[in-house]
Order: sequence, then C-alpha cells, then structure tokens
Amino acid sequence: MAKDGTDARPLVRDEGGVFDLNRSAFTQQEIFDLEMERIFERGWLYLCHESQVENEGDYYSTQMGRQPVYVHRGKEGKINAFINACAHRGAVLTPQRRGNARTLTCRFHGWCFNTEGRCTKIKTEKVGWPDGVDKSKFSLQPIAKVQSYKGFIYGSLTDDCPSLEEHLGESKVFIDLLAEQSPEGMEVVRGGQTYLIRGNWKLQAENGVDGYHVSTVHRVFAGAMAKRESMAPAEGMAKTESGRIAGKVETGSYDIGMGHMLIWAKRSDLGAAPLSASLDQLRERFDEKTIDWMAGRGRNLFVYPNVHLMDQPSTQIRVLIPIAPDRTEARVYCIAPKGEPREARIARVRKFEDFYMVTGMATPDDMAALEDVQRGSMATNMPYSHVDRGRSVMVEGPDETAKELGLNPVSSNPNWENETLYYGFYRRWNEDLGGA
Amino acid sequence: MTDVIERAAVSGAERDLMLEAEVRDLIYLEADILDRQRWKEWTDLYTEDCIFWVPSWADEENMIDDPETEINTIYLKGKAGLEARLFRITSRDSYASLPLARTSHVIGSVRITGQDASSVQASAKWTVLSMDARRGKMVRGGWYDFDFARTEDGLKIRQKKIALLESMIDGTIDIYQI
Repeated sequence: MAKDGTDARPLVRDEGGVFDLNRSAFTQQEIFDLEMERIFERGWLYLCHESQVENEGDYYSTQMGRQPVYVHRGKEGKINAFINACAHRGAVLTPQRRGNARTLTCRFHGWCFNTEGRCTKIKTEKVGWPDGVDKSKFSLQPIAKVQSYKGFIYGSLTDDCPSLEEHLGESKVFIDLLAEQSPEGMEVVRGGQTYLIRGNWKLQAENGVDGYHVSTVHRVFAGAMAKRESMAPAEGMAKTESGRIAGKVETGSYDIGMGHMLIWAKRSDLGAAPLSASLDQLRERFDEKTIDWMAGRGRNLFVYPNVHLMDQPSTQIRVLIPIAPDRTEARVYCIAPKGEPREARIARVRKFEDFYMVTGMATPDDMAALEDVQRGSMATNMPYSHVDRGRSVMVEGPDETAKELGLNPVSSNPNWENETLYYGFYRRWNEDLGGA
Repeated sequence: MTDVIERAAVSGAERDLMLEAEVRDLIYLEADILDRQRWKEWTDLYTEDCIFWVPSWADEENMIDDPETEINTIYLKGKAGLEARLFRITSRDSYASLPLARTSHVIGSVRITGQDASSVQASAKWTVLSMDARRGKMVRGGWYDFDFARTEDGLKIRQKKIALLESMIDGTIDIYQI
C-alpha cells in the first residue's frame, strides 16, 4: 500500500449508519491480486450456458481469475471442466473459444485428451518411454466443482465452498424467472460481442444494477428511440419502452445476500415486453403473480462475482472477466426462449443490439461513465465514495413486494435509484478479501 | 458495321470507367462527410429503405449469416435507423459521444462486383484512424460491401455491409468510426 496512507485503508467504512467505499478498490494492483486469489480462484463463478456446449464434444473456453479453463460436454450429457493447459508443456488446448472435439489434440506435441480429461494418446510414446508409461498421471487438472443450475453452468477452482444451491441462494428466484420462460428451455442466440472495458470489474458489476444512472445516462437513448419511432412507427414488441427510462414506473432494489444484487422496474407497456407474444403459453404454466414478475417487470440480476442476467428491453448474459485493476473483458450474449415466435425473436435481438452492445446506443454511454469513475478513482486525495442514497427508506429483510414474490432478501428498497443493494456486494467482497 | 461495334465497345468501356469513378466518388464522399462530421448530408446518400449492417462474429473465423434472427454488431434498417444514430451523436447528451472522436477514413481496393439496370454492387477495404478522448489513437479496419440503387439523382446507398475485423472491441464504436 502507498506509504502516505491516503489511498487504501480501510477499504470499507461500515458502521454508525455510514457506508463509505475507498475507491482504491478500483485501482490498486495488490487488491486486484487478492481478488484473484480469494474471489475468482476460490468459490463459484459463472462459466457458460448449457446451450453453448449442447452436444458431446462441445467445448467453451473462458477464464477463472488468472486461470484459463474450458468446459467440455462429455458422454451422456455430462458437463466437465478443466484447467486449459496441456498436461505435457502447458499449451492451451482449445483452438477457439467454442468448438467441438471429442478428443482435444494438443497442437504443440500432439498429445490427446478426451472429454473426461484423460490423456488417451502420446505421440511416439514408445520412443520416449520404451517400457510404456502410465498415461493416467498425465490427466488434465479438473475444475474442483462444476454444476449447472437450470442451464447456467458454474464452477469453482476449490472445493471448500458451499453447495451451488447455497451460493446462489435467493438469486435462484430471479434465475428461475429467466430460465423458465419457455417450456423448451432457453438458448444463447448465435453471435454476440466481446469488449474491453478500461475500468475495474466492480464498476461494471455496479453499473449493471444501477437504476440511478438510467434517467441521465440513457435519456439520450430514449430520445433517439423517439426520433426513430416518429419516422418509422414500431408495433408490438418492436416498440421501445421509454417510460422506464424517464422514471415513470414502480421500481425497487434488493440486496439478496451472498453478494448478489437485483433491481426491477415495472414495464410501462406490457405489449413491448420481450415475452408479450408468449403470454398464452405462460398462463398455461404459471400463476398471475409469476407472470407479472416474468413478463411484466424488467429485472437486472448480478450473481456474485461475475455475471449479470438481465431481462429489460431484451435478455442478456453479461460475463465479466477481470484482467487488471483497470481492465475488464465483457462477453455479452443474448439468451432467448427456445421456440419463441419469429417476430418476437427478431424484436428481441434488435433491442439487444440497440441497448446492450458497445456498438449500440446505450452501453457505450454506460462504459464511458464507468471509465470516468475509473479515472476519477485515481484522485487519492479524495478517496471515498459515500454510499448513502436511500438508506432511510431501506427495509431490513423483505418488503411487501418481496413477500408477495416469496423472496427473502437481506434488505429491500422501494426505489431502484437507491444504493443500499451495494452493501451486500461490498460486504461480501470485503469479507472475501479478509476484511481488508 | 465494324465502326458501330467499335464505337459501342469504346462507349461501353467508357461507361464502365464512368461508373467506377461514380462509385469511388460516392464511397469517398460518404467517408469525407463522416470525417468532417457534416451529419446532415450523410443520410442523403442513402435510399429510404437502406440497410446499414455490421454482422457480429459467430466464432473466430465466421460472421453470422442471418441478420434478422442473429446478433449483429450494428443493424440499422431504413433512414429512421440512421437518423436515430445521428440524434444521439449530435445531442451532446451521449456520454460516449462527448467529445466526439476525430476520424480519418482511408479507403482502397474499390471494385465493382456486379451491376444491372437498377443497381450496382461494389466492395472496398477500409482503415479508420480514430483519435478517441479516452483511449487515444485507435486503428480499425475491415471491408465494405455496397449495394447501390441507380436513381434519377445518381447512385444511392441501399445497403452498406461492413466487416469489422476486431473481435475484442476496445472502446465504443459508432457509425462514423468504421
């Protein structure tokens, strides 16, 4: 830490009705290294969606902290995951982010590994080991825990963590609201985007559940959509819902425990909702209350520590891969109900492009804002963010809305512009780092 | 008779040269309008039913195929889509667009790839140097595939398909930076 003592400790001041966050949390290499060791390389991380590794031999490569890893679909649908490094000399085994190979052959020296991670072939084995060799000692390093919850695959590099069910906790209520939208299941739509944020991963984690910025940062999005629709009127789901951006709807936010966070907003126009064409199908399967939450309210969920599941104008999986204190890779995918009407799918993907991509008309403004926070966080002469907004109206435990949903959050807030949902995130984070 | 054929052949070649010049000029004009941020003139270059399309990469080697049901990097249909972008760019209310980047398009390898009585197709390669307030110098590149409509006012852009080579996008990208 810096010798002048102005930039680092405590990271969180959390007592006496005060919640202050030291912005060194976004800039310090030492803190980033601790995060890698104690958060991203220990405990559950989201890896990918099952539809991205649908068939035997399908693989998907990603990162867990600093460790390259890949998920590999094995026999009988089994989901395996390994450290992505050849047991021989360490070359990454997957030639692409996604592909299919029942045997992954290392392209360096030709060693082969099956979907169970077992070394099945060593090139010119007899030359190197004339008496043969026990290839089982060259198995790949499996990820300690791999498990899917309703199609979302998670992994942990260590096994000293709670069960996935315990980790997901109350976030399951909201994962279910997305995962169960089609009786046929959900799928990741072909195409997507990967982009580099020149900012800390926690700033993106916050931004994805920050209702407060919507009516400033995205005011221009609403204006651009109004302009477009004045020239070319849109019908049904293709119509933009600008009522939420203007803050004219009922909203709320929850600290749902385990570091997970959620914001929601009532839709101003159910006809524009991504599920508006599927309401009949939903009525056959769910009660009105569930449909109200599934189709009638937009929701942004952050599942600690690395994924957003969003269902607002469109539906999104946004995976965060921290690279450095001021660098984060974001992978964004559109997730959609299998078998939805073609018109609904078209409207869903158009809205995804409009809002959720860094080449669209909303996400660039989010990114610019959070990158400005990153730059401002270098101001160690003024290191603290005061996370106070909405504390006086915060409800400990479930409020009436949460009770109706059967949700048991740590705290509730009746407005998505309030910031008390971050308490759970930063408390969990601070605890994971060892109360630094 | 020979004379007639030769004259026809010469004027055919001339017509090809004139068309090539017209196509190149329009492609360069659009680039110059974007670089000089003469936004009001931009959409005049397009037909009412135009498409501005940047496909996304489905994997490391292939772009998506169906712009309707798959995810594009940018997919704007009709002038209203272009105007929405301009609204945001010129609003001074878009966080990412204040300040606007300075850009310089350099376009080459322009080739006519097809034509008939009502349309002309052409491809080109592009490089855009962007001076971005947050990132400094950014260089991006790719290809263009154009479909032009022949109109009473000359050629208009009916479709501009842009292949953007980048797969991990560093920074924000808008219509004038590609």
